[in-house]
Amino acid sequence: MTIARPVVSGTGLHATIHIAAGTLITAGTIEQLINKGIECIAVNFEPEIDETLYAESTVRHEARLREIFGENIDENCGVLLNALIKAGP
Amino acid sequence: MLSLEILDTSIPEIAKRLPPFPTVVAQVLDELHNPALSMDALIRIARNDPVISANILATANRVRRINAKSDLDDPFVAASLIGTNQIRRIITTTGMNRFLEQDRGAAFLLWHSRAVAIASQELAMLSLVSPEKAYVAAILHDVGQLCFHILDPEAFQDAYQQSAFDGRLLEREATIFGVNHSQAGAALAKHWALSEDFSSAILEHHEDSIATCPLQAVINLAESLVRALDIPASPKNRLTRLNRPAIDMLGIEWDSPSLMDCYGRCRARFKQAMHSGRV
Repeated sequence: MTIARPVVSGTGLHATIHIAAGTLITAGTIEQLINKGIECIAVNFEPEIDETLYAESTVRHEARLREIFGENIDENCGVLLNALIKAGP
Repeated sequence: MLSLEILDTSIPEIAKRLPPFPTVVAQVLDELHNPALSMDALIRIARNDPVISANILATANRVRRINAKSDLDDPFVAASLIGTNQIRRIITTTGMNRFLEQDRGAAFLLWHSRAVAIASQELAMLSLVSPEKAYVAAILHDVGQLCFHILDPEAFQDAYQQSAFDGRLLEREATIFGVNHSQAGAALAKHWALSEDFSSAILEHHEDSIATCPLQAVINLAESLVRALDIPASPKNRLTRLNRPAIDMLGIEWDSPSLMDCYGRCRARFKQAMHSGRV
């Protein structure tokens, strides 16, 4: 997922830093990167995740979305609901 | 008791009890359509405000520290490093966040307004609407509630709490105060001499079948989107209708790659804003 647009410096060039493969990106890591002025992180490979935890999180995410959208979902809301479910937690 | 007929004449007295609309933000909005606006002119607007100047320097110095360069202390040099778009964004976000934080009574709408501001900015950038205008309009979209909080805090809080269950806040406000918060907020925008699209964005932010202009469409959909994204998290977040004309006006496709990325950015930016206390 792209979580920000590319940073363009005053000269029009993109500022880029490569993070070593295997680096764990945590909330703390992201905060450190933000403090250093990094605003765009591109992940080239899917990070290893705990499938069980992620599955549970996905179920909770969809359940909460269905609670927010209610039972009688019209066509307009249905498209957004499906997109948010697909986007994941 | 207010009414639509006397709202324009009543609002100046109420506005005196609100924080003043930030002058620097008004100046930036005035200059948005001026292609000849120079970097120097923008910095002259910002340099009289120490917090904004400090934010410009801090942003530039973060970039310099990456390259192991010494910190700057001249806002003109800092501005040339980060560019006019970033400066406009710093002025509008700093100015508008401070506007809302100045009144302790605004705490109840602070985080909702910031969430809508983030989502509006993100939608604006996908829709060729000025992100600065979107941010300002979003921070102000519920400012009418602040008017009611000033006029009668207990009555407004009662209406606000009761409406958490049935979503009928606009009707309750009209019964108690004579107008609803959308109408009061739009009158305030006129009082502050903001352009017509600001008034429209505030007036029609709860409408689900009207799209008057791109700015209104952005604020309207951002209001819906933050409820769908559950930011800030609240058991009363519900979304049962979306404004179709607004979707069509902006050309929004909720399942497009750019929107799919937008959801994650909205969540991440809001989480960061709550963590750091700023947007």
